[in-house]
Amino acid sequence: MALLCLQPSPSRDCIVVACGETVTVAETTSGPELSTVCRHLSISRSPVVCLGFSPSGQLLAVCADDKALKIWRTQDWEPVGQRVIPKRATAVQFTHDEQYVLVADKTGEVARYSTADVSAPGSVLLGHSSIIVDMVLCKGLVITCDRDEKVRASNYPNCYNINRFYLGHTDFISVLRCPKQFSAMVLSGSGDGSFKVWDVEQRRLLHTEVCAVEEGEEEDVKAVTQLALSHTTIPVMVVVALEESPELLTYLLYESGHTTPCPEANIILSQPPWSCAFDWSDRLWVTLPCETHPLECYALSVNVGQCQFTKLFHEDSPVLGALCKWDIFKGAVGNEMDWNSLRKQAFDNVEMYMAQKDERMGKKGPSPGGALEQVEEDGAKPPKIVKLDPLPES
Amino acid sequence: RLIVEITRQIRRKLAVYLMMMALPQKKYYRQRAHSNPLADHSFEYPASPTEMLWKPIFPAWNNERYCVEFLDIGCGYGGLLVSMSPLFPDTLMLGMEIRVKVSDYVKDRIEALQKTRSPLYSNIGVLRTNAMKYLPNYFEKGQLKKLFFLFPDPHFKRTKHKWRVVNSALVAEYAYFLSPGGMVYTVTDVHALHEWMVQHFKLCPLFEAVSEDELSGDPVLPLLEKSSEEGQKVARSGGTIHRAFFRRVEDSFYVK
Repeated sequence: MALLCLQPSPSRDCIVVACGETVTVAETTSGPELSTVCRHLSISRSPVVCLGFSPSGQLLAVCADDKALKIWRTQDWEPVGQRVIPKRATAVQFTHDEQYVLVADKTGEVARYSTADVSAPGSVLLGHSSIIVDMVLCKGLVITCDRDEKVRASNYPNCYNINRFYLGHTDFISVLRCPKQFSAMVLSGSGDGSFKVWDVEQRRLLHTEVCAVEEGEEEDVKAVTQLALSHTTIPVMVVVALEESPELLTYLLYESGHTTPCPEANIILSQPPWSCAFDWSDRLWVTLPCETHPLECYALSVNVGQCQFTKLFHEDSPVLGALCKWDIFKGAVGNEMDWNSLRKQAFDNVEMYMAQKDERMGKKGPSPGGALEQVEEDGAKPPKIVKLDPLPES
Repeated sequence: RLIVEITRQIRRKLAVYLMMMALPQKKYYRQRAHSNPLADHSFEYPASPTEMLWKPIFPAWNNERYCVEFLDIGCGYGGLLVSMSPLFPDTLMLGMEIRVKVSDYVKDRIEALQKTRSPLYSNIGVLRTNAMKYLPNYFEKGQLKKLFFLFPDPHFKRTKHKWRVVNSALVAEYAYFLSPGGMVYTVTDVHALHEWMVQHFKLCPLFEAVSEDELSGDPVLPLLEKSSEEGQKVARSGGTIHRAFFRRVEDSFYVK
């Protein structure tokens, strides 16, 4: 699947797309003439698993499936350092001061590595008893989510001090996002088909929005797989992608934490997308497994009571024109995210035991002649067979 | 005088017999000691602590407020809970056990005790669950006052170390659920496991080691070895018991 990573700072137009092993960067360079440059970054022979810009946009970190972690300086795309990490990564984030990069991995740990010094060993900050699916940093906290329906906020850098557990989801958590407009809010998307809005300062749930319901008896609920938040609009535009669904659902998120659906802005794509994200000017970028149009871009307009996405064409955005080539995206086919593997296989080891027990209790009533054990309260070991003592001589 | 003596004996034996009728027989509840805590066992658990219904776990508890304060992780056949119950009659105590048969034994045992010795033992209960994964589903921050790890499974092989109930990831969770001043009691006859647990708790700035002398007045101390089935087994075979105690403290990170 194609991973999108968009430049967070409004200084430049820069999009990074990771498809399998190839990482392509498209940016418009400012200067006497505006031109779009596409360059390829090489990391390793394995597909890229996660990537992220630093808060200022000056650094980009990319993790590959063969446990390579490489960091580039985005000014001139010079690699700053490459190291091998011990476990396969699932999410990568820079700290606020950009001194460290945090990597969450498949064994459930978050480790911290120095950005500048490649030889310095990493240190493990925290651990879950389950695979960590996503991670964000918010208000000085490290927020991680896992397969066991848990969202955990830990203090940083003293991550042994857990700030709060946020529970309520009934299936794996697939994605965490923080809106820039409301700095204390965190959104969590889950395999239970809903997303929840949490406030990490008030430490409570603000709102639950159910996006998908159970279709039939045997079917699993479609998981929320992507959450894209606009950067500047208030209310925030929340775009939700569901598992195997070509429709992007849209919601407006208000300061109170409540969300309302805005069906008029829903986008119906030709196929279920790989990924979607907003850039700093609030254009929505979507990658799809479509040979003719693997990359699409929509401009957002939010007015009172009316929201709309207008599809952009190659003329409107030179970056779109430069990147929208199947050659760049074909590496993403086949490396799909297997959401079903995060679902738990239910097997019941209780029912059989209880059936056996009922049978045992029913057939055998209490038998006085058999060997009986006594509870430890009396202290002494009881006689094996109950019988009366011989009568005392009187 | 003879008749009095006979009836007294008959009455005594009858009482024992009746009590034995209600109590479960351990031989039907034996289960292999080792269980993989990281596998997907089928457990039912609440989505969050506010959704948990405690009444079925503590059916005889008369207070409206259900706030578990003592937790025995891996309570086995329930020996510690049963012996602690009369010492703290107003404190709710819970045992968590991952094995099906063993947790069912404890449930039947507590039920029988509550029936025959009512109103005693109303403050203990057992849950079949995986404490390594689901503590956050049952408890709030700082809710617990005492946490017990009695004879945990040592999981000797290096590849199985991550199955140990005390590991660096979980020590942070145990610190979260204990209120400052809360106590952790660890007991084991396996020296390597004792060192492992001590090392992990010591490495966490939220715990400080407490020596046995400081706990001389603690009523729980004498129960730690005598009351559990594992403890009795060790005593019979003549093994040595290692104990370690830790107190949850405030984070020194903020004191600077």
